[in-house]
Order: sequence, then C-alpha cells, then structure tokens
Amino acid sequence: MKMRKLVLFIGSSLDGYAQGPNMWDIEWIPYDDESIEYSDGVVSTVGSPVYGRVTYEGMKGYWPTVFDNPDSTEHDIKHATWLENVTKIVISNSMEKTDWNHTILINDNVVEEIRKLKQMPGKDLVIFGSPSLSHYLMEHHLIDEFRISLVPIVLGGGIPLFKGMKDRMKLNLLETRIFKSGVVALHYQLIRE
Amino acid sequence: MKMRKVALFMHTSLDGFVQGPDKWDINWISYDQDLVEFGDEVVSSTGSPVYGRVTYEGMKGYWPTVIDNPESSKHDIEHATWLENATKVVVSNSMEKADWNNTILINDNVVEEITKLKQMPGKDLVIFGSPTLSYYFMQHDLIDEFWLTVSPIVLGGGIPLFKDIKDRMKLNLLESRSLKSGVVTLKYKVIKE
Repeated sequence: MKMRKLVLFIGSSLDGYAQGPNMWDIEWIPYDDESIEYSDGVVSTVGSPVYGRVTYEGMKGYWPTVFDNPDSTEHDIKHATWLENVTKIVISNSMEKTDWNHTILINDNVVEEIRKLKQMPGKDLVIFGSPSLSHYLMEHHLIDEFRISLVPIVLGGGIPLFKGMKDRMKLNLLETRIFKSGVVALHYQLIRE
Repeated sequence: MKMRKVALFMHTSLDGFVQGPDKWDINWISYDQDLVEFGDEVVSSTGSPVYGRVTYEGMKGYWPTVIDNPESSKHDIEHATWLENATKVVVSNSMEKADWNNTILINDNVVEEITKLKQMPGKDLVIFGSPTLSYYFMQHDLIDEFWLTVSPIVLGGGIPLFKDIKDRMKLNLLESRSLKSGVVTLKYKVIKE
C-alpha cells in the first residue's frame, strides 16, 4: 500500500539554523514572489499541516485575524481559508485541548499516531517550521522528505535544523531550485535501509 | 586595485559537518567524476593553496609519495605535480619552519600577512580543508568566497564547517549546481558591509 509521506518544509541558514537566537527570529528568510510561488506549490501537496505547539499557537493567533484585516491580500485570505478548513495536526505533550477548527491533537504515542495518519488516504503530512518537533520526528525516523530552503546567510547561533541525531541519514536529492534571492530550495528523500 | 580573493573550499554534509566524529572520517563524501571535475575547477583558479598545520602536514606526507607510486593515476600525478610547484601557504603559530618546497609559513600577524598576499598578483588564495584555520579566518573577516559541496547525508556530529561566528554574514549566491551523485555545489560571496 502506498502510504502518504511526512515532509519537513523549513528554512535554514547556511550554518544550519532554522531560527536565530530569538523567538520568531526568521526575518532573514527572504519572502518574495518566488518563495511564495514555491511555498504555494508545497501547500498544494498538503493533506494536513503538522505543527509543534509553538508554531501551532503562532498560526492560530495570526491566520484567523487575516479575514478581518483590511490590509490582507487576496493571497493571504486564500491561504487563511485553506488553513481554516484543512485538518491540522498539532503534536505536543503539554497541550490538553485545542479550540481551533479541524485540529487533531496528538499528545501521546506520537510515533504510533503518526504511522496511523500516514496510512490514511489523502495528500501528504507536511511540517511547517517547528524545529523542536522535527528533531523528535527525525530521531524516530518518521520524516520521509526534507524540503529545505537554504538561505544565503550565516547566523552563528539559534535553533539548529538538525539536532540529537543518533544515526546517520542518507538522502536522495530529488530536486533543487535556485531563486533570485540566492535561496537554494533543496528537496531530499530519506533512504531507508 | 583588484585584489585576489581568499576562498574557502570545503566538502560538507547537509548538517554542516566537514568531518565525522573520527579522524579522517570523510568517506561519506559522495565522491565521483563530477566532484573530481569541480575540484579541478577549484584548483585551476587557485594561485596558492592555504592550509592549517594539520592539513599541511597531511598533504606533505601524502602528495609527494604519489609521484613515485606506480599505482598513481594520471590525474593524481598531475595534481601532485601542481601541488609540488604551487606556492603553498601554511598558517600556524606552532610551526617554526616548513620544509616542503615553495611554502610560505605565516605564524604571526596573520591578518596583515594574508592582506599582503591578497595584494600580490596571481590567482586566488584557496583554503583546502583546514577547519580550525577557517574559523580563525571567518572571525577576522578574511574570507571572500565560500566554495562548498554538500553531500546528501546528515551525519549528526563531527567537525562543523562554521563555529564561533560572532556576527551574521550575509552572502550572495554566485552559482549552484546539482551533481548526479546528489551533491549540491554552492558558491557564495561574502557581502562586506
């Protein structure tokens, strides 16, 4: 049976940080037409976005406000609508309930629950950001593909993209794209042995 | 006056390690004909290779033996001959003399000496390997370009490419290619502000 994949979609500095030392320190990731187009392409493959608690709460605090904001672009509203209706997955052992529409909360047996979700029909499970959650999922070999937007900057510190790896991960390069901003979008598949 | 550049040439893993946890743990580099050709391009733009003590001694112990080894390939002999004749730069504060042909030993006033070398005519100064020396060069803003190859693997530990960076470094992407092996080559220029 063909299972759906768990994909990590994340920005990284050249020295491998997904976020600078401060909270939400990600303004160094270029946001322009090419990155929006690329990101829309990724969104079109998503059955369910997957978040850790922090990212989930950030999303929940922001996107629903977009509807009532007169400065929102058409693209923003479209994305907010998609996010409102899609089945979101949040993984956190400290959250007890969530009140955002269409959310599946996983706070125990993460590995098992993710495996179950992978066996359900639909498009892919895609982690947006959420580096701490990603560390956990990588350690448990649950991530099938990595889409890393490599940003032309060296930060020198912050939250690393990769951390706490016990085993080496061999990868297949599926695709690269080069943006005018200097971002190189890397798409890898985990080789399972 | 146009100065020659200092470039850092390095093979890294996706998580930014240039060597695994063990000494000479570099067999994970996806070495093939394409990567040899990329290395040849690097060599062809190199006026002087620049080494730290450890790499210099490794090179000195190996390459001169290649010339007299009947099993050496033509490519190896060519490279060994080039290296024999090139003006090599070794930076070390513990070495007192360097007895390999055509070597400039810098053990003091590194920034000044490198700046002087940059003002001399010729092709570029290129650091090969030498991670510890690279940290020093980065801290002192001596690197103008990064020429990297990223192998499709996550190691989880070892010697990092970037370490102890004090200030963010913004980069311009000059060029990126993906090789059949899944290696991605990246050439960046440091934006000096």
